[in-house]
Amino acid sequence: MTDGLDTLMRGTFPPVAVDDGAAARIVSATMARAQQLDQRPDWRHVLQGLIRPGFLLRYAMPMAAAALCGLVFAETLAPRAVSPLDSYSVFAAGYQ
Amino acid sequence: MKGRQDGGAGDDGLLRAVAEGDHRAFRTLMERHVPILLGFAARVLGSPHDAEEVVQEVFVKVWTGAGKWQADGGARFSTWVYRVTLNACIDRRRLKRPEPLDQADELADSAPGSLDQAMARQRQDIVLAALQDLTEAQRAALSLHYFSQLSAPEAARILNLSVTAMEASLIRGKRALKAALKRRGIENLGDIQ
Repeated sequence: MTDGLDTLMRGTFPPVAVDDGAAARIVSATMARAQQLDQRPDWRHVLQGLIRPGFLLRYAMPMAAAALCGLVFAETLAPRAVSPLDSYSVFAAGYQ
Repeated sequence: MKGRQDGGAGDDGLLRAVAEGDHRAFRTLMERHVPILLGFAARVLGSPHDAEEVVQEVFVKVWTGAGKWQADGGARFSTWVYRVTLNACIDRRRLKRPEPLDQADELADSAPGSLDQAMARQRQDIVLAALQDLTEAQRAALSLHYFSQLSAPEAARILNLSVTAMEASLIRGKRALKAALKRRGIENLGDIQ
């Protein structure tokens, strides 16, 4: 039994012909996209791998220690600040 | 309510396999739902080409979000996939929105039948907006009933419902849809036919 709503709905959205191969096309295209998505690296997993305790002990902590040593060493090699008077004396000594 | 027995695993089992990256399960799930979803989307969009794109996007979403969907629990896959498809169709319609109806006088002059098309489109928008007011189960039942060529028992099978539950859902859904249309100023359904 159809009522006003049925008539309205069927008139508002009439059936649309879809060709027979369309469903198969969608399945193959979507399978192809799923395979592409599988091959893309998942950055969340990569990050999770990086922050594992093993990674921290083996790589991250030695790298941080090396970076700290580098900073301390660079600091010791950096020229110390000299006062204007000192530079004047150096200049004066050279001039003589 | 029993799960589907045809084709071996039910949707939930297939979806669990899809969440673990099982391509064969994904293909089975698609072969089960794509033909009907395609007719459904084509009817809502009025374009088989757009429907193909929408259904493909929906299943890419299924592939990438299968694990998450399981974690959400609750809704059945079939109910969920019809809702997602309907929403994707509504979004697609918004993207392809033509001139507003208040500029339709110019349209009427420019091309024969343009005004009729614009009015039909507005009518569709009203009905789709009214459908959004329904509960998920009612919307799925009504959408399948009106936008697919399926009989009530077939639609019930897809939604994993008994025929009685499907019919009850349809009756409640129709009542709710009429009320939603009334709230949008459509008192007499014959007015907008």
